[in-house]
Amino acid sequence: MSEPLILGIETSCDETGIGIVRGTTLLADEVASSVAEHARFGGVVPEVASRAHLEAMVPTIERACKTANIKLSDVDAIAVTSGPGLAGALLVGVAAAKSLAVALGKPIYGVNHLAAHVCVDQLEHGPLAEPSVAMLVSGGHSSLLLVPDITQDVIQLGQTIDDAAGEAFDKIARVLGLPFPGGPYIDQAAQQGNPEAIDFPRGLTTPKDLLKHRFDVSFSGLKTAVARWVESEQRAGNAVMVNDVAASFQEAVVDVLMRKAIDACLENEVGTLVIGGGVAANTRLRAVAAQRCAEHKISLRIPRPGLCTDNGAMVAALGAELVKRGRDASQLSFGTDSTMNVTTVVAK
Amino acid sequence: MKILAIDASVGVSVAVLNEGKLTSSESVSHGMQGELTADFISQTIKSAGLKVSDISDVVVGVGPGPFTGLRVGIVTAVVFAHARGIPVHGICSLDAVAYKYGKPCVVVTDARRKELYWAQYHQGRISQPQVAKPEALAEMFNGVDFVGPGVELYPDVVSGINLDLHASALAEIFASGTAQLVDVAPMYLRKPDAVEPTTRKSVL
Ligand SMILES: [Zn+2]
Repeated sequence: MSEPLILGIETSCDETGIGIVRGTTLLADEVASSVAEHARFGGVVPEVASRAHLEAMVPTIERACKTANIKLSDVDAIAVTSGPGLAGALLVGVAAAKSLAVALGKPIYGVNHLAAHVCVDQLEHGPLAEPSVAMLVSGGHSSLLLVPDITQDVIQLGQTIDDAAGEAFDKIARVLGLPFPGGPYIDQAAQQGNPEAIDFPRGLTTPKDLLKHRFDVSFSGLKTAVARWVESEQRAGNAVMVNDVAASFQEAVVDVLMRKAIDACLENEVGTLVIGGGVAANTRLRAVAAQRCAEHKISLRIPRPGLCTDNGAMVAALGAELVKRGRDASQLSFGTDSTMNVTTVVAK
Repeated sequence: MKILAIDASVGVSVAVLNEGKLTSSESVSHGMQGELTADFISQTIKSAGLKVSDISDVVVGVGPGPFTGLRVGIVTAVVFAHARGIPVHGICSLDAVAYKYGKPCVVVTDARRKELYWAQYHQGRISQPQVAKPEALAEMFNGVDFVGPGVELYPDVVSGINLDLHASALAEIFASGTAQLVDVAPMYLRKPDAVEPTTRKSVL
């Protein structure tokens, strides 16, 4: 049998993603984003996102089939994000996927969004090392995972105890008067700034914190420290050095993330680190990750930025791996789960 | 014509009309549209003795109704039609109740937030679907029959005949050739509950 042809649907946040893969070969990755509609609200508005998913669904499916040069009837199985994510947004994608499965008479896999973020790297760098450690950092998640088998065995080592990493970028961007989403703007400003200008706190890194939260992260203290610093400068009548604040803030985030990720690899004696999620597009994170992984002889895998952010290809990639390994498909009546735990890779 | 009709504006209702013969599945429980709709489609087509490939038209109720469920019904319909390469037709969900009642009336369904969705009928729909407080409706339509699942909600203000909203009626309206077709897009009638920040908020 030739490699399975899988169509993947992703609607957990504000991107309507349709991906088509054959085995580990990417054939199409079409994304319709409603991010511009959310910008004026300073964050993703669930109802606005859900409305946009519905409008974008059929046109995006059509575009993906055209790009991949396939007919829908050629598809062997459908994969869709069933969680975690925004409940109403997930529901649009899952309903679309189920309808495709019924109309085409094909099996459906309701998959975990976080596992898909890890699996997408196979499209670029070949089969995942087993086990791998994965760090997922975006506006919605900050997770450190141990991945013995991406199709059925994923263990959560740590997560954020407050804000997601990307959320911290958005909030600090707002403090600095930079647009939403904040990540790319902070990254840009930081390139002109001095990362050592201000010594911002590194959350959950003291020996006492490590006892309870060795692989967890926290960004709320850092966020407060940056906001206080900016406000006190303004009160003193000083011009805020946006570039220096951005660089110093970013350095604190990247430093903590990479300390935790490297520690997770060493503690679990794992030689491969996969980084995914929108924040993986951050140039400083990429540079520090490369440097520290090299120091510890850990092989580093980060998909290109377009595959790090939410997309349908990652869902299709995980679907293809599930089919290849003969894992059970989901029942047609499976539900969405906005807080789906990463230990559940496929919905029943 | 072999029509697949879907409505998720109240509960989940799926029907197949095979050359005049109806088969249907429904559930009135709210919030289960995501779980049940596709399963109902698969079962109903099978119970009608048909294959998925036999369906010639999809008809969908486009609301008004609670948004989350409504979107499930509509995305299910448009994706099914796209995958099969067949047409999809939109009908105001309230029309299903008026069709079954068969006489001049005002159809009412739950709009939550102490309001009702409504539309007026006299040999077809003669008003745009709207949202209103029950008190306002009682004042506007003195002596007119209120029908639909909404009459159970504020019986002291808007009382009448409780008729359920079934997708089977949408299939029949379409087959009769008298359907008042509308865009296959949700009748939201309300804007998203989101406000633009007016001043720059402190993150503290
Ligand atoms: Zn994500």
